Amino acid sequence: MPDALAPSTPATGEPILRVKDLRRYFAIRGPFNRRLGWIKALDDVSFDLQQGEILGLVGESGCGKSTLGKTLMGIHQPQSGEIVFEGRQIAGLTPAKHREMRRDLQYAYQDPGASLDPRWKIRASLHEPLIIHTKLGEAEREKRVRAIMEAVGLPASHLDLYPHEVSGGQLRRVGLARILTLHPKVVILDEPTSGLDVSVQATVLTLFRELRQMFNLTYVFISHDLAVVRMMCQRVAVMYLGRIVEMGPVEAIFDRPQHPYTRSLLAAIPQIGGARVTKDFWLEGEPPDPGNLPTGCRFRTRCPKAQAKCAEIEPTLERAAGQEAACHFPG
Amino acid sequence: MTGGAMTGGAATARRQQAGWQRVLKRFTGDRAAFLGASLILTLVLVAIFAPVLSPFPGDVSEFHTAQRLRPPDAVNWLGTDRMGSDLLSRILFGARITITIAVIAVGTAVLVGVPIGLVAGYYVGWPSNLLMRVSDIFLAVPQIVLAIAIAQTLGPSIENVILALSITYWPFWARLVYAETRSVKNEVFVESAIALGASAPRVMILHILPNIASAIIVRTSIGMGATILTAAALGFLGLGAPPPAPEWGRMIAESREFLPEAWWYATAPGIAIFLVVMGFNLLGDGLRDILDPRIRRAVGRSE
Repeated sequence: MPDALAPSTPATGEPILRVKDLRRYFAIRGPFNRRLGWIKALDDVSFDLQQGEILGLVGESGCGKSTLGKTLMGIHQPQSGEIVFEGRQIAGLTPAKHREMRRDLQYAYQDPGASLDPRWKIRASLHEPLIIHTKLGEAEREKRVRAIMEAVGLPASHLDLYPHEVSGGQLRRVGLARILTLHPKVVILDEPTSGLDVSVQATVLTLFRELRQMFNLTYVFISHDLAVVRMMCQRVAVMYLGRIVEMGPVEAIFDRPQHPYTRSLLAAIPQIGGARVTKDFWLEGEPPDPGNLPTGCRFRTRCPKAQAKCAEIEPTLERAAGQEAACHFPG
Repeated sequence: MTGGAMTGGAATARRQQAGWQRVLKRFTGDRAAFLGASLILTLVLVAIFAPVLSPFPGDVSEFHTAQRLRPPDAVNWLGTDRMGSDLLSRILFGARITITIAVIAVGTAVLVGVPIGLVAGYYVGWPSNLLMRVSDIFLAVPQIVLAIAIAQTLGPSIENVILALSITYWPFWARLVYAETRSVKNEVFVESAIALGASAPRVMILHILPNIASAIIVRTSIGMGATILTAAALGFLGLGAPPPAPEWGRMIAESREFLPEAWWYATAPGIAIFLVVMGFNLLGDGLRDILDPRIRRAVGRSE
């Protein structure tokens, strides 16, 4: 149900953020710091983000969604690959340069409560980004902070509270407010609705949309909640073990999933009056050890369609129906 | 939802205001910590008002050989020493030396150790490792032996005792702060401050330091006790302030020839050292209970 505000396919043109062949491996170290292997948290991830769109990023826990978000932010350094933000290459930038750029690209933490200093009042936490990035005086900062608090729907009296004195839903608003004080262009939302009850989720999601309009934001929406992704996003990228296995417009992915992994994920959404979840769901067991991936297609160990070819050649993202899928036997 | 949140907010605001009072209440409720704090407060007051409190302030440098080694009586409450000076007066003035040594030595150790630990804990790489290995080397040498070597080389004086103690004590703070920094650095709020674009000094001083301050305060309190004990040991070995300064450690050393007949001579400074060291240790333990964020948070939730 895409709303009227959001064009189903965003305007083409130069993407605001382009990611190409991004790699982030974590070394597995044994005794005496010996390297035993790599965990391929991000393995040649590529995508474009258009100005104003909401890109959903879905997948199981541990598939590299958060690592992708953090690598975009420069919290993790990529081993290789490109991140082009507004035409500027930002992967491997010096920390000082990176800091400047972070003004425009912000990351909203999964647990906004933990992202606030427990010993700081909310006012201090909201002033901080402005102190770091602007030369505004105390009074001007306060004005801007109050305006943002109003925009996220929190009373100004909350500024005098400590993070542990505020409820979970409100903390998310505080976390968002903290990021928005700088008027960023792209916001990475990491699991923005996890741990919230359904009514609060709805309010928070509505808030995201309103804020997007108000501040002309572009979102990367990381979530494992497919229903929420369907409601919020225009495009979806499905990740499996560090790789995007399917990407395309939200309707195409949800109506005609091409990759068996996506189909299985979709089958796991419970529907009222629908078939039992277990009927189509054949995704069994845990994903394989990310430090020791299977040869060829990394999904083949859990795939019902796996054939000899899948063990030999790793599929790449290719056009299949209205989207792209990394599968030898799509559909 | 908003209405409920508002009243909730007001209630928590009230609770917050009562926060400091609650800490104070917990503190007065903790008898051991309260006793420790009282002992230290007494020490400080005694050091400040020594000239007023002591019955014979002149006895710090004056001798009355006719009255030497008198047992405690109505005039000399704690007896007199081998020079005939009033022991109580000397002990009261000795508090000044003790407190000077402890504050300056521990202060220097904190000022050196905390930044080293903070920087080594914040950055990852060989310079951090080098800093920590250097502090390991200092920790591997027995404190008292190193202090004796330094004080012996440079000659007996209060300044050299302070120097010796500072050099040997900073690694304790460096190690503590290093470990605490490492763990706080993994907290999401630190990562998020970095993601926001905060500079390294900003993160270290404004975010990490306040969050590890309680650990430093506790260590400092207990460290004061240990420093006073070591300073007394150095004084006992004749490496502290030269006579006639009323140094507690040296007073015990002087009394040895007159034991066991002049029992009060060794007992008086001994009890003074005991009370002060115990005071700092009790205070440190009490502060640990009160300032520990985990315990405090649990209390906050249970209400």
